[in-house]
Amino acid sequence: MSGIIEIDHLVKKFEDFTAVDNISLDIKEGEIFGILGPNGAGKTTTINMILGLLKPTAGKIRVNGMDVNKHHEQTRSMLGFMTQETVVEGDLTARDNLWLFAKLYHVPEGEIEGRIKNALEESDLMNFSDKKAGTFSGGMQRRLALVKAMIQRPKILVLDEPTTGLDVQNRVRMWESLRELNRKNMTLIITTQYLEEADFLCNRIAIIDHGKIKAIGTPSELKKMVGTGRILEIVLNSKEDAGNVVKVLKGSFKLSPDVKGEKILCPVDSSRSDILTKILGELDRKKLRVASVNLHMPTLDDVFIKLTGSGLRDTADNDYQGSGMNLMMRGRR
Amino acid sequence: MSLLSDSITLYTRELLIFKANLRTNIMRSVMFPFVIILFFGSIGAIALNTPIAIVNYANNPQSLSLISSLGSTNNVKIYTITDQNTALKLLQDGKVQAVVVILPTFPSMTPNVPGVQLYYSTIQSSSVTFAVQYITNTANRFGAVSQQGNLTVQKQSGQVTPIILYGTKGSYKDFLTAGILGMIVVFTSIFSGGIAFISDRQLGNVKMFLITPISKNAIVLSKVFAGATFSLISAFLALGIGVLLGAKVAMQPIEAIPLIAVTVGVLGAGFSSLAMIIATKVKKVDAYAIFGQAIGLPLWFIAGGITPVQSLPTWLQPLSTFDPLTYANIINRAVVMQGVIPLGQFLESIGVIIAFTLVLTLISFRMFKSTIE
Repeated sequence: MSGIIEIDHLVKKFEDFTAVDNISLDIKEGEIFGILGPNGAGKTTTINMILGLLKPTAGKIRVNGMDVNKHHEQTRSMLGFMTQETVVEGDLTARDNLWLFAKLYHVPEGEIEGRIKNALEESDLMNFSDKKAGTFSGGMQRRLALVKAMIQRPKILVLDEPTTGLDVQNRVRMWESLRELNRKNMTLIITTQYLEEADFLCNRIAIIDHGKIKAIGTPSELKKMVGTGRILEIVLNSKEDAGNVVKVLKGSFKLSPDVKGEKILCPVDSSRSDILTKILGELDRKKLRVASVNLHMPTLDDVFIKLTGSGLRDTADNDYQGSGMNLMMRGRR
Repeated sequence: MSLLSDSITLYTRELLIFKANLRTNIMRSVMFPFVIILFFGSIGAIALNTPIAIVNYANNPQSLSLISSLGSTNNVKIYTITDQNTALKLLQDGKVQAVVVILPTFPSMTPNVPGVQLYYSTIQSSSVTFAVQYITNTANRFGAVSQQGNLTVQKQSGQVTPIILYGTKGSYKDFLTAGILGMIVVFTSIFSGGIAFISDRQLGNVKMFLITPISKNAIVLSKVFAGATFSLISAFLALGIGVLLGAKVAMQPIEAIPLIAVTVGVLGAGFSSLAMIIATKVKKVDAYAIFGQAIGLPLWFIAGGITPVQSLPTWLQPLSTFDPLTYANIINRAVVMQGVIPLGQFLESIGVIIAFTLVLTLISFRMFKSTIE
């Protein structure tokens, strides 16, 4: 089955660094597709290639059956994009912001006025239409950015971390808007660092790390990868104790723990409800101190940590993140 | 066709942003010319002790008085020579930079009989303009007859060719005002254009334009149009400041305004393209500012912005041939100081500026395409 976006063996190399390493996936029309991954995993690079901002080193991207690099005029009009850096023009009024992009997307002259009016109503900015966007609050700017990204009525909306930096009210409101758009059969592609956001919004999720797809599926399919039961999470005061704790878990309780630094994750069968107190008692007898213990249903966080590890990523790789200007000057430093 | 209409859309955006920051923009284009014309414009001639030879055939009280007033300032250093041929030999050998021959008819009372002949060379000249201007003004104070009557520039065979440099009637303030027009264009296009582009890129605006179906060239073209427009605004503001501070424009406004507008507009477009070329390579505003200064200031100096090209060190003078600003200065000086410009000279100068602008615009298209992916 072919999707509205087909990514076929996509590779992007920056000099000798491979940012995207042979990714293939289909995004179906009308779904909300989430792309998760640590910083520097290749999310933004992938999105930039879908948008036609970067040329793939190898592989193809088809949007609605058309190659992005051969038919960019058509494919670009089908794609709307909202960046993580809330791009509205601070010196222009809300109305001028919308007008500018309506013109650049070649919206027919007769429709521009109507679409601007619509967009202002949808974003609840009717009363601020002639105020400079730079004077708006973060939430207002984000609302304006969202309707601006859709002024050309795209089939697909790409959102790069749509709620980063928003307060709770604005975040909930943004989620509602996105759901509403999706009900109108808009395909959404979302990258996010908030895993509960992905869990809440997305029909399917791909977890990317080191330029490769680690897992792809619905949120519940992904959670099953960690186990059907619950997750026991033990955080230690120091790494040195990890070996002993693991020994206890393996030996006395026949569990298969997974050590990630000071954190030990361990799937537990849901029938063993009294296991937590027993483990704590055993650890206490062996004088092994723990900082915190938690027994919970699997979340996307567990999947994420299982697949990508818990080490920090935003170090050297970040140079190739492609956000903002790094994109422009890649390979020329 | 959509290239042009997309460029105009983005150009409209530039105008809206300009309007939104109108006060800052006007202050920026007014401050520099104001300070420079106010302070440097009042210095007067900047050439001192230019050697000249004087041959006095009149030998009457008025002629002696002329010589003593010429010698009363530091503008010229006088060598008194008894015979015209010896004086011209000195001029040809480069020992003096002008020869003043006071004829027996001095001070002449009739328009067709000259009282003073002035010979000067463009080959050895440094600061000849000021010496010639100074001699002319001083000589004109004697005798009742109007300017041409008292003074004639006479052709001399061999190396010495009399050429009036930048007119003989203007003041240094006029000279500087004409020079400021070119300078403000360079600074407006390099600074406001390039820095605006770099910050657009940092804010992600350029990325947003790149994902729309427009051509990349439209982005460059809109910046070039905008640069030309802002250059025009700045140049006319600078001219206004110059006039306010006492400079006089020799040409009638009805001719002067279109001539300056064309020159400044095309030049502004050219330097805006240059700004785009640098800005695609340099991604930080502070590094860009250094580049901008390093390019803008020398171009202004070697183009004869504050002193005539002839007064530059000899090794620098040939460089001014390759500076598009030199040609803009030729036109602006003619307009401000002489009030007339021969058609051939205008076409030659504007031709060079147009060629410069076209070449740089094409280069900036290429650079933008290859660098900004």
